[in-house]
Amino acid sequence: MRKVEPMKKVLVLVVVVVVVFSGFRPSCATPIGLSSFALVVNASSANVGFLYPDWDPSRAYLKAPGVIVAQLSDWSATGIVYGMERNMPQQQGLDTSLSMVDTSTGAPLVASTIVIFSGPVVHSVVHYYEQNRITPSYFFFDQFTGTFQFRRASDGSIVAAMVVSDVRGGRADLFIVEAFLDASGRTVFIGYGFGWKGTFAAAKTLKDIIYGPNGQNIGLYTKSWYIYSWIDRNNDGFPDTDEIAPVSSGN
Amino acid sequence: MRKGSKLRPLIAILCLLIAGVPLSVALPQLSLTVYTSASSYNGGDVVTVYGRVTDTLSAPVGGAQVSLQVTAPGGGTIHVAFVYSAPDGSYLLQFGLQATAPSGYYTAYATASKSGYSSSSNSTIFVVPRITLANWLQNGLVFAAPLSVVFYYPDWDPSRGTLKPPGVTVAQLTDWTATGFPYGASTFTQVDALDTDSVYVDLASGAPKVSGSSIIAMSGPAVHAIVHYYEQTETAPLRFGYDSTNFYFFKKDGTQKASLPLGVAGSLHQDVFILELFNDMNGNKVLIGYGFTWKGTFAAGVYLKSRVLPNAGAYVHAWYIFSWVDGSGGGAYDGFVDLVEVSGPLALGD
Repeated sequence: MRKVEPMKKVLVLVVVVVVVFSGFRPSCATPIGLSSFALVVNASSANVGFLYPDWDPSRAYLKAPGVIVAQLSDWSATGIVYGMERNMPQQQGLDTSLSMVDTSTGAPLVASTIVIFSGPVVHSVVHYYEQNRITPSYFFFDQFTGTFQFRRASDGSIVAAMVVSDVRGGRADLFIVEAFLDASGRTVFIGYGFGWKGTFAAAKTLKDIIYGPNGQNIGLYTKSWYIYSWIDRNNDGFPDTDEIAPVSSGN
Repeated sequence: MRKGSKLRPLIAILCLLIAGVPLSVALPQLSLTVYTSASSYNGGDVVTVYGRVTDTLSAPVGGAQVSLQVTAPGGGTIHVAFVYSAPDGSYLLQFGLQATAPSGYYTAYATASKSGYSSSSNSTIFVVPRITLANWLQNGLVFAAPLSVVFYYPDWDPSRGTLKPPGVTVAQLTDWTATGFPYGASTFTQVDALDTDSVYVDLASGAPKVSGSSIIAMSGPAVHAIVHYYEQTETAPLRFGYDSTNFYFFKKDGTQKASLPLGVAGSLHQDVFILELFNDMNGNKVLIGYGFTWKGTFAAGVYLKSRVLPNAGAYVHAWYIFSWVDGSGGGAYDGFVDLVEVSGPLALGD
């Protein structure tokens, strides 16, 4: 048996230390094509769970550690996606619902497919999936560069970034729509932007671009995640579909 | 006879005219309202026209002759009748539409007259054929042709607050969630716009600038220019109101149909909401839904998508009022609108 060179030992140790202290954990999720969203649209009644981020400060203690109460703007997108469902009703609830979420961790308890249109800062379940690197990509705020970023869960590389002040200006945003199977075999769809307008744009994009009329486009979206940009070209502050452009995609 | 004596009466009259003094005693002015029992009818239906005659002090005037003339879409008269107002000022007339009544806008003109008063006229519009959620939702929303539905979001941005008509303020973004439910339910790509978008809205009045379209507005008149416009012009069958103790929904004739104490609504654990459909004067079919608070508006969107759309055939009227009580019907008392917590309709009509 060949001896491992001392330098290589040190290198391996450094890598392990860096990985452990950076909080990075290898993904235990299975990326699936966003095209599987067609199954969500056609799911039988009560087979899809829509989880809204709780907004009520009096229930803030029910949020997972590190997650804050949402602005009601974070609800703006979910109605569009729920509206796409062909079979009614589907499950709806808050991320502080004791019957739907393990509020100590943010892990979902619902057995069904999950749809969430909200970011990890305000949504316990998204926070749970991202913290545990279960999502294919995750949100990151880089204080040194002053940017919001989407990073690849597999290696932490930056996939897309935007200067914070641009997002806060309300005239531009980046957003992601992603799909994966979690360790319990749930199909999970998440969409959100750095700002609420990006989250709203994510829902519009899912309906009008990705799914398309009568679902004619959804079969083209075979990758697990798609990132888009929104730039307010007509300067009306409203995310119009023709102001949305693809940025990146992957698995 | 002196010359000046002939001129004196003329000078006096001129002085009176310049001073604005009327030369004859003005008669008190009658006033009358005119409504139809529904905003739309089918051929063969009986149309009820009713209202009230009052004087300038809003006191009822009985015994006034109310003459009615109804014109068809082409302008021809299809019905003429008269009746005397009751002691409480009310009047009511009925007539049957022909089974072959053509589609379009009908106008009912009413004139009140009585000796000792100046007469007064008013009018109202109704439409043939009858419009209901049952006969509109599928073709007017779910399977509507591309770009034939306009979803109006209430603008939330304080910097554009001045673009709202007087009496309308900026919205909460929860009202967008409610709009999302029907937006998501539309099969094809449609139009969406803010109620401050001058391309789609007359900013002075809040009137939509589109015609022959479906219009969706899921917000109350306090924050949504379009809804405010339709209620102010008595185009919508229902309107919002409030006083120091309650919120209300009224029919446009002023009949109270639902109420909720301000404090109860303010708790955000109970609300009342409406879903209403009507024709406007530009050939648009307009769907409005909202509650007294944002919870009710959210409930209107959820209920429309989850209960009404899947059972559209059962909703054979144009407007409905429902109630939401948090924790009722087996739902959790958690501030979230569960479908089992929605009951009703409390009232319905056309």
